[in-house]
Amino acid sequence: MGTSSRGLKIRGLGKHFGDTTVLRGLDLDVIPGEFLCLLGPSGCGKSTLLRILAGFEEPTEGTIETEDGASLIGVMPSRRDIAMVFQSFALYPHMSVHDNIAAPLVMRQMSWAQRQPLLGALLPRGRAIRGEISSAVERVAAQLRISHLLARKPGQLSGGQKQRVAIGRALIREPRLFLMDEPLSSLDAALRTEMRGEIVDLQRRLGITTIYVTHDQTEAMTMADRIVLMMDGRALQIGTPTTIFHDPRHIAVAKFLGTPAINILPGDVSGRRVRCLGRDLPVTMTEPTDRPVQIAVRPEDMTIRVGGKGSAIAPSWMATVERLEPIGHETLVHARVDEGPRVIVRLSGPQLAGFAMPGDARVAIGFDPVALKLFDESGARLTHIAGDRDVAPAPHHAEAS
Amino acid sequence: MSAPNASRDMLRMAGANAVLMVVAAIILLPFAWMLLTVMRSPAEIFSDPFGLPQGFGIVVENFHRAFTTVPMARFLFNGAVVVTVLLFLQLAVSIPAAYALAKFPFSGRNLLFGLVVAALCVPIQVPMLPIYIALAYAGALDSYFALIFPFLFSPFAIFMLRQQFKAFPNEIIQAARLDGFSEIQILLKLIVPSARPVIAAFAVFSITAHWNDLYWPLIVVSSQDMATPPLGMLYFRDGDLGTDYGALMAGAIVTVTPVMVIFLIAQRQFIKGLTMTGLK
Repeated sequence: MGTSSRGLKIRGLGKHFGDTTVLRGLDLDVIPGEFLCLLGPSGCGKSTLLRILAGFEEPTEGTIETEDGASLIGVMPSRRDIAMVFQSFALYPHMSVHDNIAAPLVMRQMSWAQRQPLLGALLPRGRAIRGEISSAVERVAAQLRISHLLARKPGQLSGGQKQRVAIGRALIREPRLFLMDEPLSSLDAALRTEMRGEIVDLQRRLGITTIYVTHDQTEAMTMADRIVLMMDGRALQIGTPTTIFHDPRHIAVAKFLGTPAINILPGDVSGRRVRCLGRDLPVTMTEPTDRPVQIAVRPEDMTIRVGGKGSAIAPSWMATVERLEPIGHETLVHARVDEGPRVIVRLSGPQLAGFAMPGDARVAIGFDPVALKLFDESGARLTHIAGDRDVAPAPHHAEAS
Repeated sequence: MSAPNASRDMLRMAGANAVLMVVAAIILLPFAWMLLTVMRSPAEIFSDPFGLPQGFGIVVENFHRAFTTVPMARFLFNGAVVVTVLLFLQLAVSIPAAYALAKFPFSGRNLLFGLVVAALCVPIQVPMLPIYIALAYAGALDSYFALIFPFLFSPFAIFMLRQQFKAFPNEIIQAARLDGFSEIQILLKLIVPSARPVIAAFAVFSITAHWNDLYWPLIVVSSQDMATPPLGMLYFRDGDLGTDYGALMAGAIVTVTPVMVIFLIAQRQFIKGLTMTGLK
């Protein structure tokens, strides 16, 4: 499907509804052919941004331009060469699957007279256009493996089938931009995983620039070329899934990604030294400063020792285990650090072997200093040098006594 | 709790059914009398009102008189014209209005909808006189126009359809806009088909109300040529010979049958339509 995909240049985009601000000063460059995920909690403005791109709503301020400099502001939705897949699929209920998929072409390519069933066949080109459209529908249907469903009405389809029809209707026009608004959220878990792979395959094959809205971090992490993490109407961070996950620029980004959520420990920086709950950490600040900091460590980067034995992992804190959550291939340990916060440690693989403890067990909690991330009180990332690698224990290693 | 008792439950059911049957009988009584009367000669109607019919000839004769002493066919034709043209125009006015009120955010929308609801509360008798005077000045009395025009704007239809259209998913409308549907196409191809039961319900209401209406035709129609069926019934009340009940009842049967047939055909859709809007 020779599609000329396109990018977008979004500058200072804002949207207010009365006193409520949904989008504030958003800048974003959409690269032609990429799969871009807008990720964020509900109410972060990601759906509003998508609706503005589709033309259903006009922004209060800011500009949207295609890469050749044409502005999209004020352009009718039907003239934007955009196709969209909706959360509810939004199929036309009284039309067959064939007519649903054909609708965008019928509406664009045929005159009113040509669309009439009997009259159309008599008019010059009427029959020919209808034939071309039908073969396009069949081609798209074959691609989505729904050829056997063309005669049915949407009411007779399963969720996954409706999804495919919705995608087919969006694809047939060969749009230059593909918008998807949580298209998988109304499917069951197994189907969601399957469709995830299919949508990505399809997107790679066709190379259509795709903007995909989701609140599901797994979807964003597995599907996206780049993620825009949105919160409170702002783009907090834009980057590849790996960058966003391992190198968050803001504490909200670190907190939003990863299940269970990242652990936050209180700390202090004085000069270049970092202290956490009474112990020095083997890290050095890039810039000397004096302020309280938030130390974030993912559950999988935490270590645990039972009975105070084992190798000297420094530093470590005593903690009381409150709850174990075994989930098969891994176990989540919920523990409260003495005079400190509650933390979650993820144990998997070899750490898990023989790890069984009674409730209220006393353990020593530690973490890999290389993996920790420092944020100031406002949540902005502080840079540090991970200390002497020699004293740092191998990550993901805990000895059970 | 007493022990389960089949015979007592049966008795209770029988009691409930008996009550329903009595009420049904009371409601059906006028219809029964209509059917009995048409099977009688003028003499028997009062002398032997509940006796067995005397033969088929009388029935034929009564129907014959119903169609010959007055232009019954003309009445039926007038009624059909008024009812179908009116329904068509009511829908043509109400469907776009209801769509705008349901799906377009514009300033003053709530005020306009408030006016529609307020109009629902105004009985037709209130604006009758000014409308009559206006029609008289326009020289439009005693015409189809006079019979149809005052009912063109149906707040009931606008209200009922707006409630229905409001439930239509916005995402489908947006998908259609992206796909290049015009607003009229969205309305006719997507929204109207989904509201078919409600439109059928309104059609039944409108057809019954205006087919059976006597009040307004009595006011604006003066010639026999423009009379609708209920108004036509009045012509059987002949001053010289007394009322010809047999023919009157034959005419009544002819008048009510079409409405009953329409209702029976549309019954399923009608009930579905009522439950869909939550109107009962």
